[in-house]
Amino acid sequence: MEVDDILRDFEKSTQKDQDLYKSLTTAMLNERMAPELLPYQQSLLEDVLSKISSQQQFLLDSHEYGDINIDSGIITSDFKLQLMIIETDIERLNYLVRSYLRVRLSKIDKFSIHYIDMISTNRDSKLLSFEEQSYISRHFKLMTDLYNGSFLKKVPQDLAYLDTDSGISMIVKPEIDQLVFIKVNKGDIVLELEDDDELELIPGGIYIVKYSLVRRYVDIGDIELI
Amino acid sequence: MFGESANKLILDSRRTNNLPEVSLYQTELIGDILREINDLDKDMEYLQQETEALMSQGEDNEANRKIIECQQFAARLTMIRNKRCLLAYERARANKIDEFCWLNVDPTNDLTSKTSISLSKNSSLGTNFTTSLSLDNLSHPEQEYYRQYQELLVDYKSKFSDIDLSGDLEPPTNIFIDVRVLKDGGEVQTEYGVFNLIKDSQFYVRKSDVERLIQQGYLEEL
Repeated sequence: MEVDDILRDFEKSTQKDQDLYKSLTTAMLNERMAPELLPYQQSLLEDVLSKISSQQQFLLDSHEYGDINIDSGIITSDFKLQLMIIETDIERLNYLVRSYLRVRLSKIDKFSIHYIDMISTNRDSKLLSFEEQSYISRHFKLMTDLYNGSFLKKVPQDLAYLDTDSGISMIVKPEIDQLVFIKVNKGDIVLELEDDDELELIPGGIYIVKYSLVRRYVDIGDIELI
Repeated sequence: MFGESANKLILDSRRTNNLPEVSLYQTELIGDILREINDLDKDMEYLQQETEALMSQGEDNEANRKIIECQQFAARLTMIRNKRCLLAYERARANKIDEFCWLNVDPTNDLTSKTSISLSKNSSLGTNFTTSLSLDNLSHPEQEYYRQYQELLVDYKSKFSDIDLSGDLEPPTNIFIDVRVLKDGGEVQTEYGVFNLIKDSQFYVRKSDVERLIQQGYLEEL
C-alpha cells in the first residue's frame, strides 16, 4: 500500500513537471510565431524559474556530496549520469526561457511606441511583465534622447516632435493579418473567412490561416501556433 | 535637388544593415540635411510673408496665391521627408548597437587592432549580424546611447539571474562540446578545472562555461 502511494505521488509530480515543460514550450512557440506580443505568462514563468533554481541548488548540493564522498566508493557512474541528465534538463529549460524572453524583447523593441500607447491607455494590462514595462519605457527614453541629441534639437520647432500626424503614421504596428501555421487542440471552431466562406477546424489538424482570425483561440489555448 | 542628401543617407544605412559592424557616422551628410531643412524653413517664412503681403494689397490674384501655396506644400513635404530619413537612419544604427550589446563583447577602440570575429560555421545568424563595433564610428549621442543601453540590459538581465539571457539562441544539444582555441588568451577557470587558451589546442568542455568565449572569438565550436 505504501509503495503504491509513493508511486502515485511520483507519477503525479512528474505529470506536473511534464505539463510545465509542455506549456513552456507552447508559450515559447506561440510567442515566436505570433506577429504581435502575447500576454506575459507570469505564473508559468515564475514556476519555471523557481524550478530551475531549485534544480540548480540540488545540483550544487550533489556536487558537494560527490566531492566529499569521492574516495569512499559510494559515487557510482549512475550518480554522475543522473547529474548529467539534470544539467541537460536545466540547459533545455534555460534555452526555452531565453528564447521566450528574447523574442518578446525583440517585438517590444520593434513596436515600442505602439505598445507604450497601449500600456498608457490600459494601465493594468497583463500584456507586459513588470520588468518589460520598465525596459520598454527606459529604452524608449534612450531612443528619444538619441534622436534629440543627434538632430531633432537642430530642426525647426514644429518638426521636432516624434508624434506628428502629418501624412503617414510613423508608428510601426504588428502585422496581424500575417499568415501563421496552427495546430488545433479542440474541436468546434468555425472560422468565418471572407466572401461568406467558412472553415471548420478539425482537432489535431494543421492549417495555415491569417493570424487575426485565430488570435482569440490562441489566447485560450484551443489553438497553438507552430 | 531637395532630398538628395537624404537619399544618400538611406543608401548608406542600407549598406550598413548588411555589414557585420556599425559604419562610420555620416556627420557631413547629416549636417547637409539639417541645413536643407532649416533653409526650407526660412523659405516657408518668406513665402508666408509674401502671402500676407498679397492679402493686404487686397487684390485677389488667384494664380499668384496658388503658386505660393504650391511652393509651400513642396517645401513642407521635403522637410518632413528629410526628417523621416534622419529618424530611419538613426533607428537602424541604434538597432545595430542593440544587437551588439547583446553579444557581451568589448568594443574595439582603434581601427588598427580591430579583430574580426568569425562566427562559428553552424551558426544560423547569417552574415549581416552585428559582431563588431568600433566606438570611433559612433557619434557622441550614440556612444552615450550605447553605454546606457548596456546598463539597461544589465538591469533587465539581473531580474533573471538563473537564465543566461545573452546565450546562444540555438537549441542546446550537448552540455559538453569540443572547442578549438582560435587565439591566445589567459587561463580559464571552470567548475571542472582550469585550462589554458593556447592557439590551436582543443578541449572538451561544458558549453555554458565557454559560451562567452565563443562569442568573443577565442574559441570555435567543432
